[in-house]
Amino acid sequence: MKFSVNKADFFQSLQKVIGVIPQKTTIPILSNVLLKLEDNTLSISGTDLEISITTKCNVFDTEDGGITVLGKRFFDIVRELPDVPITVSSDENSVLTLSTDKGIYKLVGEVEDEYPQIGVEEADSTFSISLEKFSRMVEKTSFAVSNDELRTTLMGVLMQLTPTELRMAATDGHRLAKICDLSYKGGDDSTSVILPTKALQLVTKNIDDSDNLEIGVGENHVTFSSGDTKIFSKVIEGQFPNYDRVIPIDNDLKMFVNRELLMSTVRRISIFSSVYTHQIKFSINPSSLVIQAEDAEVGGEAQESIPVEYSGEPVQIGYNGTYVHDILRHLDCDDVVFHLKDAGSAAIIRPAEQQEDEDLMMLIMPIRISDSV
Amino acid sequence: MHLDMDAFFAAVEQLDNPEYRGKPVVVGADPKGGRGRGVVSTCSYEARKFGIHSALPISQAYRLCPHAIFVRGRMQRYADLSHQIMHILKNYSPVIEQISIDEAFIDITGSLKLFGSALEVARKVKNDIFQQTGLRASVGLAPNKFIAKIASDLEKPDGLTVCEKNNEKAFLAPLAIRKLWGVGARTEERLQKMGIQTIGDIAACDVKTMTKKLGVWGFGLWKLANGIDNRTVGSGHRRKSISEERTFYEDVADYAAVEKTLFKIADDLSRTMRRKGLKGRTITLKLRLEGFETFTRSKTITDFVYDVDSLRAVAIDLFRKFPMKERKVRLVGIAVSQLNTLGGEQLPLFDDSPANNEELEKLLDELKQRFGEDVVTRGVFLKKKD
Repeated sequence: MKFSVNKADFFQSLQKVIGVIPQKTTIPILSNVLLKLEDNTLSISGTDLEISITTKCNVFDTEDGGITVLGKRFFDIVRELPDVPITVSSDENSVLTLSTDKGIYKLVGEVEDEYPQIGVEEADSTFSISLEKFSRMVEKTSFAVSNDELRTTLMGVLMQLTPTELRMAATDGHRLAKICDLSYKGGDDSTSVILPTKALQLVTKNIDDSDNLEIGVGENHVTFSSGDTKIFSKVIEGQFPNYDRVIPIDNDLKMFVNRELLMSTVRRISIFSSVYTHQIKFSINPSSLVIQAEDAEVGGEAQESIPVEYSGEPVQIGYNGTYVHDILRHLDCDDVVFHLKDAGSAAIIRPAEQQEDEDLMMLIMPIRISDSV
Repeated sequence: MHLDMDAFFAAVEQLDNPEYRGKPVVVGADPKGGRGRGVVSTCSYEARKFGIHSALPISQAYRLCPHAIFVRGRMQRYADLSHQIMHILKNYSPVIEQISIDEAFIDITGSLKLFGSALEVARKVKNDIFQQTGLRASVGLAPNKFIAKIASDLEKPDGLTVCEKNNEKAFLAPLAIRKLWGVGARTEERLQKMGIQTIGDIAACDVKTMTKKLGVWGFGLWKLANGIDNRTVGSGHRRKSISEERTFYEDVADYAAVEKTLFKIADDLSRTMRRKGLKGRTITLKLRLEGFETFTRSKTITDFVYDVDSLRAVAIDLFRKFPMKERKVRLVGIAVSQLNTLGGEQLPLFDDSPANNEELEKLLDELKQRFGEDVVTRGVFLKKKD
């Protein structure tokens, strides 16, 4: 294999692939990237066996072939090279040589056959969406996933395709985030998959300058393709909990509040909450919300009052301050509405005004308040 | 005031069995003629003369003194007596912090008017305990908790040691650094290298030097060495963790058997936690392998739990991830920390979350309590009939 390439192009392509390479692995070959040259086209691939990325790069003066080399070292040297043409070649001993007009760099690699096959199965259905919209949906939901390895289905984001909308939802069992794209037009059948957050991060970070992200959904996998880059991911197997069932429909109490103000207040008060429970208390009155926290273990307490619009009976509800803050941080409107029922029921938090063709909601379960706050 | 019962378990055995009196008594695991496993829980003062002490492997204790009287503990009896003793303390002050079955701090500041001097209170407490239970206690009187605890240990057994106010530094100065809270063999060695032998040496050190060499912790030591301890006696002692462990009769190479034992431990621990109303988020697996090497591995989960399935799942997951390298297992245990003793309970969104086997588990607890341990059990714990 032999080719010449511009440093900038080459670096940009490698950058897209390097993120999938696992930091620690018991299978040494997974630390490698695969370079393959066919018909004047260079493809660069990486995988962690769950997720694979392949991208193409513009090269010239080519000779077909392939090799796999240690990804991080290869990436590091290309990054450190000045912006000059690079010639890359491999020999029969699987030694990869990079040369510029100033230096020669050799890496010992392995034959391409050693690299795991990246299987691409046929997708059952495909659709396109703008990368901007997709990234927004990921951003609004993925923060709410669980990191509990014993509940793997909650470690990913659920993507649901229905005839009338595209939905994404995530939950850790205490809070839930859900966003619907109402402009989506699906087929007759509904389908859903649980996507690993790592794959979603790679998609939003590494796919660039493209209006159209092509998403293919199969039974056990999903592909994201755009331009020269293709990301293939296995889906998380198992049943996502029936979250629709736990979204309350009779939360008649409404509290309108400025998002920025509430967020900064929660951040201040939370400093005084227990480091274990992060418990803060909302005392909601017709025109004000009093937020309190107390750390019974270390000592210290805090209280602040902010204006709200609320017309129900006064109510006191405990929440995990971190959850409340996370939710507010991922809403991007001026005012938010809390739909409440009582101190033991889920609260729904929505933007006071939804964006066009979008339905965004967050849900949080309270903490049962103990005597001490 | 700090009160510490003298060789509590062993003293109870000597009390209940007059023929044990004046003889070395060791409460702990079965020594099995020197091949026994597990450790010494408590031993009588007669046994201490042979070099036996708490936490010593029982086999070693047996080697040191084979003719000692070895008895298994009777926790219920000890707990009853402990309860009785704490009750006596309540006559002298409402501010009591029980720190273990046989130890408590008592703030008697408010009781002095009623009973005269602190010394008077201490004498009365000791006397009451002896009259009502037949057991001896050692008491330390001091202006703060830390010195009181040190003081109660100085004249054991049946001790009464006083450190007067404003005499704290002089009282502590001649004592060995090992007496300081948190100073074990390693720190001792490190301090000795710095030329420090006594608590007085630490107090004499520049506080900056201590902080530089040992960090924040050095500052803490320096404060203690200078007799500074501002902690109050809390009426409710806040538990930090709860645990349960088993030593195998012989080292086990069959990891499936280890997992089964973990299940059993999870089951017992889960019941204890339910009884005490404790839930926790951090689950720690303790493993002691052949050759006494001990390891712990922890995992913190989202929910506060006490159900057997969560405890077991996490413990077994940690066990499976541990690089065993075919070593045999001597002891396994599970500990739960980050307990929900503070604040309220985070409610779950879905009712299939672990918290919801609660009803079933509570029913099982009740059945066992009413009809005995064996009335109902998990299939996995049943022995196969040959």
